[in-house]
Amino acid sequence: MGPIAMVGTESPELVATCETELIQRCQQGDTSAFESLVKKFERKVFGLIYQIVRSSAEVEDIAQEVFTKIYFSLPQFRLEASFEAWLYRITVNQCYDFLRKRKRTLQVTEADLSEEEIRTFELLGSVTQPPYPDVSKRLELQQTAERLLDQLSPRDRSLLILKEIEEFSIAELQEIFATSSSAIKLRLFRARNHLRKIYAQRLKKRGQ
Amino acid sequence: MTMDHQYYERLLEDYADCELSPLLAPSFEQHLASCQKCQEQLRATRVTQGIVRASKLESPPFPLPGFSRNLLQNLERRQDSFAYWRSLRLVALKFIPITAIAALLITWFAYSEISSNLGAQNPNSDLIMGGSLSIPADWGREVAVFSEQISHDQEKVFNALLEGQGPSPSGKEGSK
Repeated sequence: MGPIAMVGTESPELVATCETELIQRCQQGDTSAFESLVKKFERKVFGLIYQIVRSSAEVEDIAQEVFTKIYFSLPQFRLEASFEAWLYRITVNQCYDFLRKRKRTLQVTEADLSEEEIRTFELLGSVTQPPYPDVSKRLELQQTAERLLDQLSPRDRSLLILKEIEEFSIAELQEIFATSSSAIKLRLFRARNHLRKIYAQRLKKRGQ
Repeated sequence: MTMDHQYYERLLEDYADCELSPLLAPSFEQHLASCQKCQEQLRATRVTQGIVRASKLESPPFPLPGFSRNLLQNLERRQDSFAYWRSLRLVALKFIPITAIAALLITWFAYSEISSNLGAQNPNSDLIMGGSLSIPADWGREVAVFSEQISHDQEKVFNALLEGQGPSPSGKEGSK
């Protein structure tokens, strides 16, 4: 049984030590250590790709590419750096590449918003576990939200998803994007502003 | 009040992200209760947060049990081509500076050879360049004599016109 098997119940220091040990073994060419590393992070990577790319058919292929890049770049990885942040950075970049290649044409479907929907979104933004009325309402909201998010650039959308859905803190995002916290805050502010303009336009169109 | 608003406006996004320091949060909330502009902005931020949260897709696909095994098999297959390209890249990295230096040396050598050959073929090349620019030492005197002559001729023509005679180009008629 590899050291990773006991990670779940141990302290963060021990987890980090196990991770470092695994990485060191990978760097020495131990493929079983790499397999353990993949098993440890595969779910998180799958979830992240799925939320950004929003297509379950592509998730496995992108994940394969991510772990392949990790495998071949591991010999150059510095142990002082955070492996998790590095892994997520590669994952996000791989998703960007995919979205850029796909060049999804923006759907021109008008996602007109009502004041009631805005109130529901506000409620969703204010509390972490909002009470949903029913499944059909929930699906409807999800589709409206998706259409609004589709109008953002892959970069802005990914950042907002990492912040709101994956619930990364500013400090974690700072590590993932290898930038300062003020730069992350500015990017978040701009992305939100853009989204704000988009939904304001939808509200106006409905009012006309 | 405006100063206050500008100060608290900067804290608004941190507050919405639950990243505002507990030391600042109470004063921000106090301001928020009385500032309509901040309330509107916070509401707009909450709506954007809600939109993103609402877009969350439930039940993301789980990796199949054989995912890591398949991945390792793929990696083994790609290992050979990776090793080949890696060695090629290392060779290229070593040879690029050497090639650049060699190209610079060849260019410099060719330039010096061509310029020395041109110099040998035309020994007056320096004179050709310098000759056109060289100024005779007595050029000022020649110009002065020439301009004096012109002005003298002009005077003669003027006098002849006044006397009603045609100008004599040689000036001999006047002397008769």
